[in-house]
Amino acid sequence: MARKVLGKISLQIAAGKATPAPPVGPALGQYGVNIMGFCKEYNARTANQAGYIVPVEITVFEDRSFTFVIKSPPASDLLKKAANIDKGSGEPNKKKIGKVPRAKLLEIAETKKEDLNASDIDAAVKMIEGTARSMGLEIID
Amino acid sequence: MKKEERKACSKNSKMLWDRGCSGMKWKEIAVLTEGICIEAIAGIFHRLGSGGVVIEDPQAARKYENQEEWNPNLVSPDFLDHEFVLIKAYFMEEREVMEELQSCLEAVKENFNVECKVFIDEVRDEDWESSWKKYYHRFKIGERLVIKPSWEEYQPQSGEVVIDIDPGMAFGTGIHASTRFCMKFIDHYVKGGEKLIDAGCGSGILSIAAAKLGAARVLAMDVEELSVKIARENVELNGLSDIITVKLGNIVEEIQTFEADMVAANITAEVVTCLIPEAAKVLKSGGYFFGSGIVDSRWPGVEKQLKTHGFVIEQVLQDVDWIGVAARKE
Repeated sequence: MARKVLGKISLQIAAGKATPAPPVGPALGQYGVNIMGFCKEYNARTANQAGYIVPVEITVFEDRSFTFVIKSPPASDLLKKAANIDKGSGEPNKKKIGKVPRAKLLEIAETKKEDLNASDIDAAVKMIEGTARSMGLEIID
Repeated sequence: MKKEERKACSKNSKMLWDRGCSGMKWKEIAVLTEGICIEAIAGIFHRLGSGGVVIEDPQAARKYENQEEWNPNLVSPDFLDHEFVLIKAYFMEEREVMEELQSCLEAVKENFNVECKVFIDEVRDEDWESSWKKYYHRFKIGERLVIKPSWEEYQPQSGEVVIDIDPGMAFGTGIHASTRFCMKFIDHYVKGGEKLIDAGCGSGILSIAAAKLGAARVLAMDVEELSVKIARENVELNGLSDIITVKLGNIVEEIQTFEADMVAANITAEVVTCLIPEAAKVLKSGGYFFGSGIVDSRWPGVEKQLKTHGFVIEQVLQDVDWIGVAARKE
């Protein structure tokens, strides 16, 4: 018999570096999940991606056991790479810090469309475009 | 702010956080937004150095709501009934990030035409550290070992060896496959009188198992101060302070200064691979190396390393994609 699902937790955390500190502790603690057990599993599976943020979706079962799947990198990381910048702008409305071609937005939307809360590819592109602008990136055609 | 928004937002606060505690304080910043802004806001928190974000997305949760196995009773209807999304990040209490956050949220408003609301709450370490304990109960590993949370009572049956443990925030409850593998190896190979090194001891569970099964001397080591503290407490709880020494430090660097008949390393494939050549120098012919915490994709590398350094593989245990190995020095 399938185990009953208790909840789903989405996290975006640094590969290989999960600890019981926030955000992992409070997110998992509220479901009664063994926090260190998750940290060990996550770190072992993402050790080869050190330096990147690796999102996960965790499924918690009624007996407090869990499984998780690794998701695509955050849009902001993919955009930083596309625009060749280290960090988004602290004042995105006033201070532009780079440019990204529209074709790249489509590429990123394609990469991420399964993981995005978007009904179709147009909605996914809109989401990526808004994310780019909110980081202080200009879109070029 | 709508009443239901506020309710959903403070749900966790009311259920879990509002207890009088005295540990480290964190500032929980929650941004109430819409699905289209998730990636932008997560990106802003990463930029502010939050060290990660939690995303509560009712649309994602609803995907499972109608499935038979989903248990909606434990998720607030306030959460599932609405379209809004909550993105949470945590900062040390003294860090001031609000000004920059507000400036970035202005850009989100302009680019998505979505007004985000910000909620700030205070949380403490203790609020989540012990929440899993009520689901941690006594269980048996191998032929003889019984793992018992320190807060439970148990009368051992004949032949059983009981390990009292309070793992706290250290790794090693005995439930995880990687710990179970090492426990089984210790149960199988420790006959009495051995010297054992527990590399990356976590809660100290492997050291305690070895000592209870008759090991004469055990050295438990970990790079994390918290683990060392918890391991010492557990050693004392089991009355084994005269057999087990718990030490803070890097075992790969220090192993040469110790003698051992057995080395147990329940860490990761990377550390196990580094430790094998060093353990090979310390172990005499007929000594044992127990390696665990190995994800199956990294097993070929560990296997090769063992063979290169004169080990004969005696047992390989697997559970889904976790592997544990017991190898004898030739």
